[in-house]
Amino acid sequence: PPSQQQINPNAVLVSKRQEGNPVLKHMRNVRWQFTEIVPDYQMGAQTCALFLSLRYHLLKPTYIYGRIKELQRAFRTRVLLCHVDVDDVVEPLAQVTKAALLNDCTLICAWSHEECARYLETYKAYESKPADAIQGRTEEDYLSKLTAALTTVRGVNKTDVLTLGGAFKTAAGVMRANMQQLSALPGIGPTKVRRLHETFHEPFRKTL
Amino acid sequence: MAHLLPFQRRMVEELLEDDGLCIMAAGLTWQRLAAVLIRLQLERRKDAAQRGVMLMPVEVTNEMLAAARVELYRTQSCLFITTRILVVDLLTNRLQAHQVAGMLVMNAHTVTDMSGEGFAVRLFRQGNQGGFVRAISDQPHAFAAGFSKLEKVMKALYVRKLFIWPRFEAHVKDTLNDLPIEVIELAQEMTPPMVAIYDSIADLLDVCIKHLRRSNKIDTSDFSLEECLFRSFDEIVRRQLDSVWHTITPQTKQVVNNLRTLRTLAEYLLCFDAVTFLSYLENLRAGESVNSVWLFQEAAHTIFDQAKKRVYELQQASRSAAMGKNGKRKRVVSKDIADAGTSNEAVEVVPTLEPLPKWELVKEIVQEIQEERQRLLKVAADLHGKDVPQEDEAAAEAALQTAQAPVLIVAQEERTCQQLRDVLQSDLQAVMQRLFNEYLLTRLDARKTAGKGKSGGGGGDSAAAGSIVRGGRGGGRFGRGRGGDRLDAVRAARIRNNPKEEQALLDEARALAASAAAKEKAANAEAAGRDLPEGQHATGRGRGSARGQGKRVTGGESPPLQSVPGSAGGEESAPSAAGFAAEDGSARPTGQDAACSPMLQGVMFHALESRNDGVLWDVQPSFVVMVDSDVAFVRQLEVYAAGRGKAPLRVYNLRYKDSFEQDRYMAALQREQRVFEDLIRSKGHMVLPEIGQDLALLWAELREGVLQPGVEEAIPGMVPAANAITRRGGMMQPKSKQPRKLVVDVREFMSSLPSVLHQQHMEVIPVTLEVGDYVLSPEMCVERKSLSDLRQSFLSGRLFHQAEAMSKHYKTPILLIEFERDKAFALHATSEIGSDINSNTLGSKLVLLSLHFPRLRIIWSRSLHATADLFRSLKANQDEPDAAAAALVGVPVGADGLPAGGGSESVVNTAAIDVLRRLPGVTEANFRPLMAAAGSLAGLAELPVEKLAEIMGSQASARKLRDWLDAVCPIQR
Repeated sequence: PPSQQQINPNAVLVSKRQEGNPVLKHMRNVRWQFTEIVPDYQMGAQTCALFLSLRYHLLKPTYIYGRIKELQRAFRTRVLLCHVDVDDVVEPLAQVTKAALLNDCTLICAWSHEECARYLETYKAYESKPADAIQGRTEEDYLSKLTAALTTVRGVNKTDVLTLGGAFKTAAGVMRANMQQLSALPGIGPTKVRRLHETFHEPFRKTL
Repeated sequence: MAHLLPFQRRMVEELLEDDGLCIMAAGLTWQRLAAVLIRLQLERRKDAAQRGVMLMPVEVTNEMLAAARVELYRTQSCLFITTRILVVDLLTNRLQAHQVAGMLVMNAHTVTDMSGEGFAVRLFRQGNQGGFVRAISDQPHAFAAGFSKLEKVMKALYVRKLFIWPRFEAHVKDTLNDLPIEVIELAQEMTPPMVAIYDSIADLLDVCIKHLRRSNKIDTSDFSLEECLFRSFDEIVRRQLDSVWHTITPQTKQVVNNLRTLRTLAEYLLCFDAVTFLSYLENLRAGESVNSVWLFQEAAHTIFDQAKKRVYELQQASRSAAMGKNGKRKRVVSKDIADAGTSNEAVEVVPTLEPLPKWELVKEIVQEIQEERQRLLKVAADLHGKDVPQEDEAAAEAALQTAQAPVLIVAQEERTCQQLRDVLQSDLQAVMQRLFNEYLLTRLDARKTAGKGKSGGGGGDSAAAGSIVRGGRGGGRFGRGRGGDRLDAVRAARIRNNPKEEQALLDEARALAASAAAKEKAANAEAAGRDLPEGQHATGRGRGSARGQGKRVTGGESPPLQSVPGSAGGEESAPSAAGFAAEDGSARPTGQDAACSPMLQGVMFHALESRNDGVLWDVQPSFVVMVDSDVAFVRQLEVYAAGRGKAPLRVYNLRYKDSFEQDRYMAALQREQRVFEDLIRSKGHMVLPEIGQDLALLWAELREGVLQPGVEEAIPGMVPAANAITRRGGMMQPKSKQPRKLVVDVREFMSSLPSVLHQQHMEVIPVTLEVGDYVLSPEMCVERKSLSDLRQSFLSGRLFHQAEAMSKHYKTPILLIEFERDKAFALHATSEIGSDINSNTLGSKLVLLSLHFPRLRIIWSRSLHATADLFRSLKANQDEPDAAAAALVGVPVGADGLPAGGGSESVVNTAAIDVLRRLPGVTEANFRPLMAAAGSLAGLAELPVEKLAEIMGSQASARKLRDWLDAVCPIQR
């Protein structure tokens, strides 16, 4: 057997242990290859994953502890990918959660093989992605920005944003609007009016 | 108590006799009952010095310092308090349960054993065995939702008596049927376009229901078109789908949303005027996703067509200016707007401006009432002073009173009230014209920004084109995949205005703006005593002056101060001369006008949505006009009439013929009756343990020393009650030495988790936390997110900042994702996973989060109880958290090295901060100074760019922010 295997840096490395795992069938968006590694999957230099099916955990409750211990301190992001494939989840999931939490693993739950595969793919694809997408940075055009800002207020939808924009012309105008002007708008009921008004006119922080 | 009606007196007596829950029909004035109970309490506790003084209960809110609250608890005998504050103060011993005489719980239908109210009652009952608990609700149907809801509520409240007061109860019936009100029912026909729209909406609802039926996920056997028109229909559908929500295709979800949209549309058709309805439709179209099912149906086309027809029609443009001047036009109003668009002729807009049919009716009624009042005044005057028999004197007095009492006009919405006020004091066409002018000018303003290209909308026609392209991009409607894109684009284009029509509307708007500007100029010129300049210099927006303009002028040339009736509007829409005279002028007189308009003399308005239930008693009207009807309000009328004795009350009830208004009203009555019958039945065979048993259990837990903070450890030899074990499911017997302390952010008391934690024998310490929601130990900190919170806070970037802060201050930062027990346990719908990596799914964002915060741990919790168990086991080998230390974490340190604000209490407007952080130019570095300097978002809107630059420390960011704030919102149509 070839001992010196070519390692593709763009592939998810998969441990031989995972052979026959149906999850592999669904890994289509990134390359993957079998190699000798300690974790089950390695999605980057600093990212690895252990795979655990809850059903298996019910059979061998100590398995996962042993696997985590084997990892030692080698990776920065250690994912415990848990396939939720039992109906009564509370008890086993609590055990798995505790195992992950007390042993420095990030627990990710997935409900199907497709979803498991998607998580592994995404970890690989996002290996060096900046955090912009979760920092509230939105598209640059005016309407998406206005929508992003105003829909922060609970219950306000896209149609309402257009109604508000149309009625008060500018974002500043919307912020200045008083109760009466707001309640004169079509489709915006008293609850939304109150919420909008509170958001714009109540101080950011009121020290008592 | 002298003025209580017989049945109200019985209600009070019942509730005074014993602790209990009182459920009454909507509109039977629960406020009255609550007021009497509170008054009795106040009177009883008066000391000698307060005799004869009217005491009022004090309101306790979160905007009050803790010390001030303690002082109030000490001195006041009766307080209104929010549940959150009550729970926090009971837990911190600021308020001690044994010092409370009793609790009066309003809106009892919201109580569960996990809700704030339930928590508060439990804490109260633990420390107080003798006090009373009385609960009131006027929403019987809330008790019909869910399995044995009634029993659960009563158990949570620790009450065993149930008092039911339906409208058909004998005492209520006797009292209210004694003096029936004089009701005049008026049925108004809808106009033909309204009927057409109404029918189309019904067709679309039908289409949506058929879709649902095909999805096989829902039991549609008893769905009917009529039922779709009720608000509760949404709830039924949602309830059926909730547990399988993750297996539902996006298309079915869309259908469920569409059903709701269509239902509100049917409501709005009856209460919005034609122009507002059209612009609402246009906003809806721009906001609706391309996956929408209804929008692409033939019937939707009809809705848009007819809605437009109520406002304007298109005709071929006149060939020469001369024809226009003569006012003679070739009226070739095309049947189909699309046809007009395809022909090569330029088109022109002709307003049709159909007023709302009910307006005319309201006008007539008010006219009639005013005449009646005049007549009564005359009668009174004739009789007065003359030597007449006693009874005539009394009659005169009564007539005078009736005539002088106000007229109350009742409508569902605030905006309807504002509009009716307008309608009553001016001509209908003038009102419509004003609305139409605003509609056109909005278009013009939006166009200007688009033209500047500043906001990315591109110039001119590309706005419309852009939206078509966008319409296509979504693709995949009905699972057709990307091949459907072009077809979608075509369909999308069909229901949008064609460019020619858009152009015509813009021309119209420009002409309007020009004439307004010319008018203003002329007025200025006249004031200066100079000659009139030629118009046409009009470039300004002319918005302020156009607002009050009662007529429309096609060109800038027309002499400003002379009316040219019908120069463009056509004969049928030409307003009456009187209307013009009243409305002409550059500014509409305001307050003054309202005072002298004879129609508005003594007329008052009430919006049902304002929920000001005391309005009848405050206003004391003798005439009531119900523009929209509502079961609760009719009941209030009955109670009000019964309290008035013989003084006459006349009620006009307006409704549209053959619309769902009447059906909805009748169905609401029937539903209530059914619910009450069910409640009475379940009262008969309800099984609840003896109250003593429940309380004994509670106190047994207390003696265990596991519930009350500050109570010493379990008393040795005390065996916990057998039930206490079953309640914990027989598992995890808490050991007395186990750490149990949890520091919880006070804002978290809005949710149910603290209540459950407390039920599960944790010691909950409320503190205002800057970082995290729950602190389990000096090392562990938890941020709780429900699924919808999670989605929202990924979008706003809030979660990123929270994770950052937690990682900075704690060794083990934890994100708790909380699923609801009765909803599906899954992050994604199966259909959402798709074939590619999609950066918009929750999963992808979670991956990104965990890559950026490798130390962040995630808890996936199936239910509140699972969370509580997990919290306990995580704490097992950890130290107890320190509340004081946790409170200081993340609080910015001031210049003196001490925490800024000195740890003082404050109320934070989270929503406003979220909005602020999403504004362009605002960054992590400058949002705190901005908050401090601006005060509020409204304050921010006023700051000039120089000031902003000073605060933000950057000219560029300041300019970016100010420009964005002042950019005119483009409208996609």
